[in-house]
Amino acid sequence: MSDYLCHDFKTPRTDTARRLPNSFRLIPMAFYAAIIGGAYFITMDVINYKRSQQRKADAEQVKKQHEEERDRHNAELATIESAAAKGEVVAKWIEGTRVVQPICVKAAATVSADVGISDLSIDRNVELPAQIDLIVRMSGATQQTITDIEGAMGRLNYRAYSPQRNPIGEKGLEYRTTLVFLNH
Amino acid sequence: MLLDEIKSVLSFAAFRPDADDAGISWSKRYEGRKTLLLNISRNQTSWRSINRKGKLEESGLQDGEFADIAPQRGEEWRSMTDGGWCVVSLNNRFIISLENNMMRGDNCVALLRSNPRAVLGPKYDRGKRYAICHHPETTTSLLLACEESLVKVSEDVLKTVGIRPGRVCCGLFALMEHAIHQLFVGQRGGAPSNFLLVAACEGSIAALAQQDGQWKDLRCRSGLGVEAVDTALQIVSPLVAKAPPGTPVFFVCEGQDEKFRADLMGHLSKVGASDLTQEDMLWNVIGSS
Repeated sequence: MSDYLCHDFKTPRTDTARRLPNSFRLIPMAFYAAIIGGAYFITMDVINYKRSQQRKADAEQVKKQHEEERDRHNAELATIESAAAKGEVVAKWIEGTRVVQPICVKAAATVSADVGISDLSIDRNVELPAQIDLIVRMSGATQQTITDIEGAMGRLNYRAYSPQRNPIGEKGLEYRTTLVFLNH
Repeated sequence: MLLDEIKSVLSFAAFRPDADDAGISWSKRYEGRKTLLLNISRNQTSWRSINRKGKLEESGLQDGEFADIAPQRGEEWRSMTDGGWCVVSLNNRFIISLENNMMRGDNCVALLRSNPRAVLGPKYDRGKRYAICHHPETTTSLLLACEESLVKVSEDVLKTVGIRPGRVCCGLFALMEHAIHQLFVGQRGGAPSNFLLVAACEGSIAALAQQDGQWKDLRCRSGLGVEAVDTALQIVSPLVAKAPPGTPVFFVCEGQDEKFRADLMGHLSKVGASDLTQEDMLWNVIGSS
């Protein structure tokens, strides 16, 4: 039949409207493109929103884990700082006792081997730091032991004031004195 | 109304050809829709339906006046269509003549429908509907004039049974147009300079003679009836007799009566006629082109 077009002599209709020009096809095409584009963007937005929510939940989970980790580290840090503070106190105490350490060493070294030291106390008065109260409790100690201790203190430039000797039980002896550093 | 217009724009229906746009082929206008093809003769009406795939399907035939047949078959015909659209082929009360120097041009066919006087001039008769087929190479044309009252009556009858004619044509003229188109355009090397074309459709007959590349003579008779083989031969014989020896004779025939065709072809075969008829030719010509 190719390009042959059959003739037609029917009564023409009067109610026909002119066909819209083909260029007007752009209107419905634009409409459908807008719908498809809108649907695409809405879908992508919904997908991205859900993905963001998931990421937010994951981030919050990570944040929670990090906070727990941070709290644990803070607790460990507090423990360490507490220990460090204690250590500093000990260090300061040790630093503070450096002056009196020779006294302990000399007093302990002076007593003979058959004498037992059950207690050795050195107190330093805050108001009178130049005076040190020495208390030594011993068993099997004699007058010679006390003389030796006083001699040793003297070699350290300390002079014993108002020494007191108090017997403790049958063989025990308590020696109590106040040591004053002599400045020459 | 506004909603319908918006819907038609959004569904692109507003850009498709109108159902009865004569400038577009039938198959394109009704693509994917069922339509009906009616062939109305003097005492007989035949029909075929085209399914949604564009294939010819059911067929039927009934003797009698069309005005009596249509109310009986209206419902059946409506069921064969989507929207009630049909092609009507009229095979009665028409005449085909040979004319010279008719107006030609792209809008000539459309103008012949809307303002036939502008095309035909003094040849115009207000009681007629016209169609034209030009010789591709000369100034001669075939002019079909069909009784307007027959067209209007047929349209009115169809309207009363809910069928809308999307095309009203003449089956015989359509067969001739198609055969001429095939001879001049379809054949390699063009049409022979001398030929005789005999076309018959449901008892109407036309014979066209071409000599030296010019359409010289045309004889036509509508509504003869399939029983009038002798009358048909009387119409054709003078043209056959006048043709130079060896002139090729082409024959196209459509109709329910195979005897008419066989008898006519029997006589024409004596002068070496070749039968160009194809199966369902009329239905294919009016229902697809």
